[in-house]
Amino acid sequence: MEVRKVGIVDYARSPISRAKGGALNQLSGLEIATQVVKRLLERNPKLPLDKIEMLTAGCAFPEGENGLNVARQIVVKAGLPIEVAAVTVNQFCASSQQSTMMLADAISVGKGEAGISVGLEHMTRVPMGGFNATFDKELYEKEFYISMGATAEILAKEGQISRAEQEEFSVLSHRNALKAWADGAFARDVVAIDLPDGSRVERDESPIEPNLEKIRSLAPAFDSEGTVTAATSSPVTTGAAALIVMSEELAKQLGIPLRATIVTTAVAGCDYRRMGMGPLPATEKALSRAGLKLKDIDVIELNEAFAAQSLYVMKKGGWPLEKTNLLGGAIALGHPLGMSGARVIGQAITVLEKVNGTHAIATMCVGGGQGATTVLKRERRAA
Amino acid sequence: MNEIKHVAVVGGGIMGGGIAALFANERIPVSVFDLDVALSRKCVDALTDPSAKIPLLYTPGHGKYIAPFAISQYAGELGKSDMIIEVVPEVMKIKKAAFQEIDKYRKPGSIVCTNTSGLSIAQMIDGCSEDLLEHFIGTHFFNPVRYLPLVELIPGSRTRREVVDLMRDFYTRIGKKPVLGRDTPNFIANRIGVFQMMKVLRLMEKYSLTVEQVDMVTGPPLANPKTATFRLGDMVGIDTLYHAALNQYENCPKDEARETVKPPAYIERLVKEKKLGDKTGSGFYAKNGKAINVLDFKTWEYRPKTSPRSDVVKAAKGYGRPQERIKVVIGDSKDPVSLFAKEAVLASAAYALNRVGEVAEDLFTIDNAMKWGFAKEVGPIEILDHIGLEKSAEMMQDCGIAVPALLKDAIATTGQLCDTTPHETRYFDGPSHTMKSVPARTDVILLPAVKDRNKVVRENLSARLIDLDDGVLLLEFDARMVPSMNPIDDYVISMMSQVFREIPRNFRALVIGNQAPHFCAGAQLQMLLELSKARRFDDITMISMALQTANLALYHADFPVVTAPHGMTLGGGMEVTLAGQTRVACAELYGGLVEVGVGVVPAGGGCLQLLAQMIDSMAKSRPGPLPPVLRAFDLIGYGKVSKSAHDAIELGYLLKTDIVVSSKDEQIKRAKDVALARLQDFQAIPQRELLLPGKGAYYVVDDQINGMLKAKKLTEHSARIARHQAHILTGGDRANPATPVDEGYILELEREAFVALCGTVETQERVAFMLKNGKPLIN
Repeated sequence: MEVRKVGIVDYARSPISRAKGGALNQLSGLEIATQVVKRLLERNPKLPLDKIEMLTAGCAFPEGENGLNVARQIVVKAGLPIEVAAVTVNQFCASSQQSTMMLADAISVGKGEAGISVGLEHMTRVPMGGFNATFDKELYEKEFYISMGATAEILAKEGQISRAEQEEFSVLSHRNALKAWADGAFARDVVAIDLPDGSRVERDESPIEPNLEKIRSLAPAFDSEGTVTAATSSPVTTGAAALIVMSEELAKQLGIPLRATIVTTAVAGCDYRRMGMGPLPATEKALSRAGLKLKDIDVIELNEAFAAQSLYVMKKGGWPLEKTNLLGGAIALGHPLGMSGARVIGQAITVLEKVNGTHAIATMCVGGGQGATTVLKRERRAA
Repeated sequence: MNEIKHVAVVGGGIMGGGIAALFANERIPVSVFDLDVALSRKCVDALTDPSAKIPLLYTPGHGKYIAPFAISQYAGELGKSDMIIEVVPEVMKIKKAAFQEIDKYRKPGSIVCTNTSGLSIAQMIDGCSEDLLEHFIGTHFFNPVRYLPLVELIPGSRTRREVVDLMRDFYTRIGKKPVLGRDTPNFIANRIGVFQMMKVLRLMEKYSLTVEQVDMVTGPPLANPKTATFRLGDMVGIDTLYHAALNQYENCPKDEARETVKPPAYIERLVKEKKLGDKTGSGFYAKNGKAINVLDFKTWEYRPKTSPRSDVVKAAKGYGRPQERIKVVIGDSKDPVSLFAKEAVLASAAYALNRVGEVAEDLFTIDNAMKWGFAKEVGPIEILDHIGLEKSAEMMQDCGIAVPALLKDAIATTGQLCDTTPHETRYFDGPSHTMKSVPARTDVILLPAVKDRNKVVRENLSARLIDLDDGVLLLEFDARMVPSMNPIDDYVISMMSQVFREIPRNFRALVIGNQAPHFCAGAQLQMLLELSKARRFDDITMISMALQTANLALYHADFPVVTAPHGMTLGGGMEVTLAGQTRVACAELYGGLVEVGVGVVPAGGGCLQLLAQMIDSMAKSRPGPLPPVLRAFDLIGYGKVSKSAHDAIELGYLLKTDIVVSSKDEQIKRAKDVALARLQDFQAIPQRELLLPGKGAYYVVDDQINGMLKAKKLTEHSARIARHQAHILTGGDRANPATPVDEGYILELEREAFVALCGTVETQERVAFMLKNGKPLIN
């Protein structure tokens, strides 16, 4: 099969709401995702709905309200043609990176021309771990189910990342996010969500002006001897994001510019006790496939599961801070697990445009020991 | 007007909120009016705050019955209410204006009440309509309204008889204790209370005692609550106290103790300096971080609180009966603390006796008001019968107190002031020089009266079986060794099995209940500790198995079994409650499986019963095997205690189908009626099989426990206990989501865990600590 160029036409996400008293607690994950998809399609009227081959939805805990093949529910609820196929993807935190990869892979070999990749997670209404978690004895004894916080502590120790460094990194995440909001950098990315009580949510709830005194006074959250605190971990949050993925051919035909093309992608496994390092092998693989070097990359979107984990990756990989998470990362914005894959891809494109760069990577670590990376190239239109 | 379907409370302060909560708790809609909606909303918010220290609502959810309004909304709203209660500031001008407004908008026939704590009610309604005057009554509540049962009913000169009757019946039904008083300054309880407080201040100077000494002796040693004198003052508010005293001083010019109640200069100074007690952060006491400071009236500086000692107080603590404690405390002629106490007790008795006929019809009412409004265990007058009337008179003379005429008359004629039997209370009636009788309530079941009618079927040291008539048997726990806790011991368990010998003979249904201060605050720990230390694990297994067998036999019995928990219903008490096929709970229920506090797991069938109940009650939503387990684990793991019976239903200790009664007096009667009703089509509950998640879920919980351990949110021993709990609740080694386990297996798991934990030093330390200090140790 011939391989064709595939790119991303547009990206939108909901505001990200907090677990406690979050505005989005009024809605289900399905309802939030459906609104995002609808807003995205409304502002892309040139895309004929019958050209959409498939909707893929990434969700880390696809059960309860996010169960019953939530992707198919989104298709019907959003009013997409009944012929549009739907598949729900679970790869924990990389779920909607994977749902995007699947579309890109299919379209690149001619199995369809366009698709919608959705990421969603409602961490309050469908809690992390799901409702009926159960562990296998053998794997449990091998520490396969190690808590995410514990993996961050391991990396902090091995990477000699101090609590102060983690706090500094987290503060920067909040300041970047606040500045992004102040500058209107999310004007295109974030679409307002209507609530049943008649109000609308328009803004992320988590970024706040950091209170250094409070941050420094927090007790370690996972290990009393450790360095990781609530302030240096991504908060439990809720939200949804969506991307329109399209072949370059169709884009040209319809006269819709591709905001970026997907150069290549990679997922790599790693030690589950050090799951936070996943972006390193995944990115190495992806860059080598793309024939690029790290220095060719202008923009890095690295999902901040934990400050310790992000700093470990940056230290070991020699990743430059000045290119990373310029609009704030998950520590400030929040990390609704299944949503984050689509968010880092979309946000990478937004930053590429802002800094007028060419190449970006969107990457994240994955519980259970994986990393996922997407390499993006900004398409410059002839003037 | 014979039903209260809607209530308005005018004034959303502390008392207004407490009164509004009283109706919301009964699910009666209530409108709270204040100057603006923000103020009344603040009142509702305070009531529904889930972290409230003294919750006034049964659950925050009961707040939905309270709607906030501004007084500008009277026109559309006030007419909806069948009863309007004024709780505006204690200033006559404000009260008068409030009633003028209420009169304009109320619906005719609606009852109008004031919660004034001592202003003249005749004055405040001067000029109101005829209809209002006829439906007006003072209803004076005590703070905190939910927990102090007294309501003083003060009819006006024009109040219709049926309004008084309706109020008395209504408040009795919802568990309050109404008494009839007269329109005199500060009515009954506060009139005597102000005198007692002011007298104590004067005597403190006379005997050169410190604030701490006064509080040490005027609390439980004199049959009063722990707040004693000064802590009570701080709680009530020193300004409130000051104004009440001033009101009494100014408006009772003929009072023989008038000069005594005039507030001393330092009280005035505290008010001026806004050191008003708890509400301003400092008063007689002030918190200094964790330490408590006390005000020195001479230097006017706060100094660290001391812990004074006293032989008479120490001796008194050995007595369970409050009358005995008082007699011990006042019995030492050399100790200034004792002399102080003696004079305080006698002066207060004399003052109360002199008020008979003035503030209330009879002395019985005065004693009751003091018991129900100030939570005193003994009335100020009836104590004289215990001391001896002639001796009391002599001692009064020694102290320079004029012997009240009523006391002299009683000595000369009946030789008694007050005499309480299970069927009646008899009190000395001044005008007739005879003992008048107030019969005990006969519309409810009062156990002392039943027992007195030879209805005890079987009895041992800690429990008895009582014939409640109509074929209903009552199992009463009455642990006479520890009446305050009423714990389960061998005797109780033995009596539980004796039920099965009595029922076939003469009975058809069983109620398990009592009218002690608490239903049952756990199991006897002393024996458990001794057996644990001696490592007699077979005996420990037998103890556990005995309670399991007794509880499960009752649950599966072929006759109705109704449990009637009230007050503290903890550990084994909750396990027995859970063994009831139906529960009739008193609204004031502080119940929970708190075994974790003494380092063990519920092992009298409590884990099984709670688990089965959770599975059943959640079955409709098909949650899968783990969620019911986690809900049970959340309760047992933290040893959660309910804040009311309604809260117990929300937590899952009780079922939605269980019954809650507001009045403790009515509980046993209601439980009996429910037991009889269950006889129709009664079917024994068959043995159950439980579908539990099994080992896979155990690992999930274990992982969480390890996480908390690592973050030092748990101690090693707490983690060990939690693992045992998780092992039981997830179904041990046998369960999986496709293979149910039987009841016997869960009981076996309970016993194994119980025995294993009893063998640990840490659990033994927890048990010993609880026995010594009455609170849990976390080690």
